[in-house]
Amino acid sequence: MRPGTRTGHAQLLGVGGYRPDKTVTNAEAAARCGVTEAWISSRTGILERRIAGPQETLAAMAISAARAALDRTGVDPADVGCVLVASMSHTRQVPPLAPDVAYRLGATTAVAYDVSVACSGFCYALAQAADHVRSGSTRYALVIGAERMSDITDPADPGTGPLFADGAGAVLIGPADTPGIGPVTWGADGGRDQTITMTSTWAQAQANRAGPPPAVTMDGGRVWSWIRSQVVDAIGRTLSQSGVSFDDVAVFVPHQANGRIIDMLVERLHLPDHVLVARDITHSGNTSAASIPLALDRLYTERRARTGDLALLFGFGAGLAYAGQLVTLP
Amino acid sequence: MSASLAAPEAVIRGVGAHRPLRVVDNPEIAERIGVPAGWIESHTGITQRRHTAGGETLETMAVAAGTNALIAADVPAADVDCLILASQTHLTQTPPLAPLVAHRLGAHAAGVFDLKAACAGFCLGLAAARDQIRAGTSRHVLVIAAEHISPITDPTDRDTAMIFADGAGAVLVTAAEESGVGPVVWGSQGALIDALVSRPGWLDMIADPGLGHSVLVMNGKDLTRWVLRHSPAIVEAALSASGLTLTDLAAFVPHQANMRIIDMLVERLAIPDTVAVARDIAVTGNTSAASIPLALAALLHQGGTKPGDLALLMAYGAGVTYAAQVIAVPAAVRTTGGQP
Repeated sequence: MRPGTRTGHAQLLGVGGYRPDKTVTNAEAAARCGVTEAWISSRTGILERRIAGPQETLAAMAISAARAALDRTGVDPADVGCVLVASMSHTRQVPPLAPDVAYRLGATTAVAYDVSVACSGFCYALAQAADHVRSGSTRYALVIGAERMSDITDPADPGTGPLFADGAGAVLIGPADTPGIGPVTWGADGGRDQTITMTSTWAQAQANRAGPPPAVTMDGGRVWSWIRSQVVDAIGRTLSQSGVSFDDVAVFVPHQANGRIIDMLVERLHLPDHVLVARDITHSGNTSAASIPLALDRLYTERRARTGDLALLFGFGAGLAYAGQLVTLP
Repeated sequence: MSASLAAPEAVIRGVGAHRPLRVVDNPEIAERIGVPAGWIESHTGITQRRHTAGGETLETMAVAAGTNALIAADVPAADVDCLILASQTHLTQTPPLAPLVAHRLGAHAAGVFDLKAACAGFCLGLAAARDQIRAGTSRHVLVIAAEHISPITDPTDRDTAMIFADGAGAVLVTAAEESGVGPVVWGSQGALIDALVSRPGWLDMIADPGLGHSVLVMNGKDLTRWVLRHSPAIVEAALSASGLTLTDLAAFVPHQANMRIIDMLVERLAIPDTVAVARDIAVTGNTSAASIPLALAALLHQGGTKPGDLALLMAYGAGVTYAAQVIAVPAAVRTTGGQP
């Protein structure tokens, strides 16, 4: 059997984002869950977040983000061979989200599938898409993170209501002469998979129609200690296996979980002052799988991203699972 | 930034399967959907299918199939670099299922993700595993396809109740010098997004207590027409990408959607008599993403192929999403649960 021709390397070519029109302030979020504005900002670092309206469906937001990424590159959607969508809020069992997104985007010959691993989904999908490019299975791939967390969040829960938000981000990747996407570091602790979970499964909700709708619930303390130990170690391995240190890194784009978690990572990792830390969470909240490409997108709209900069992306969350990689910014 | 210099190929080292314990025969279904006995077999070629029983869940089936693939391949769980779980029937938004399955297996070093591509999920997972290995990201990838479809099937719906069934299959893919998993030929056609959907969506179901359960609704005619029209080009492309023709094949393992579709495919593709055609659907039903590894396991148990024989896999399903690739058949297979 002939094995097929490898492409070699992969790189990011363009970044795009979509932020819903409606802004929800801390005053509004606080009123819904019985806390104060100051309580929210001090515990989450969030000042406001975006919540999608009825027309801003997951597919619509994913398509807008992908179009924005394509527009920055000049690549025709018809030339995209692979569309991966990372999401934890696609609330229909069948079909997956990606084929509809690819088709309506104009990527009509692309293969399209969903990658579901919660907040680390974008970095998993990026790693897999990069391998599809390197192995020669596709030339251009879109990696999209899209979430309507508001559909699966209870606004009255102070632990999650003010935190989670909606939006979509995307990157286009393609072949390269030199490595533009580094080796992935990934892992999971499935023994703690109930640390972030739903209040009920769909099957349970279906059996008990009078009950409350399923909503995300989490044990913030256990999440914190997992990140502080395992995720911090994994971030260190991401650098060491690529033979670089933070001296070489220009930008750190962690999952925008919570401003306090980002602060803790900066401290634990002894991040040098020159490293630009993405803090899109302040205005976007925690958009799960969409948070890393949205945070990247903000670096471009604020003209703080420089072509060729080395950026460390790192996703972590429900599973508990993590994944991250170094990338060269387009 | 350094990159891996290794340039290995991917090969399937072992196949695992788990068949649920409860056999559901045609008379039981025929009564529910209001058709004469014999009608189901003549229309679908299915004589029985299996549903979960005795505490079997999506998780336990996935763990069993994964365990069996690891045992067959003689690879310790701790050596698995990535676990890909293909399923369309994990009935919750979070957590994903792959982390728990990896934990139960003891695959503590593995990256994990759920892959959602309906009935094409296994072949896409296999392509993902191959590309991870060729790119140097992983050396051992466990691809598990598991489906617990009975909970999202309307037991009285003629289009789906007699077809869909439960089960899990898995393969352990490893790095090797010789290629044992050929280039994938794949794509999606979102214009046919309505051909197979679950209705109502979960949010609608929650919002309106008057709505029934969320179940699969299938327009089988549209799907079948699409598959028959496009499969010759897909198969031709998959074979030529591996430098092969139909006469090089020892086996053809299409998605086990319906025996009549398999018969039509064999005719349309002019599959030679020398090629063993997987017809596991007769006793297993349509297990969506799990159907190809289950059918492959059955073929290996029957001894219809020998190690190194070439088999063409072709999957298609909701989306529409399809994927096809040639594989070298492994020697090792292990099945638990109800025996075929």
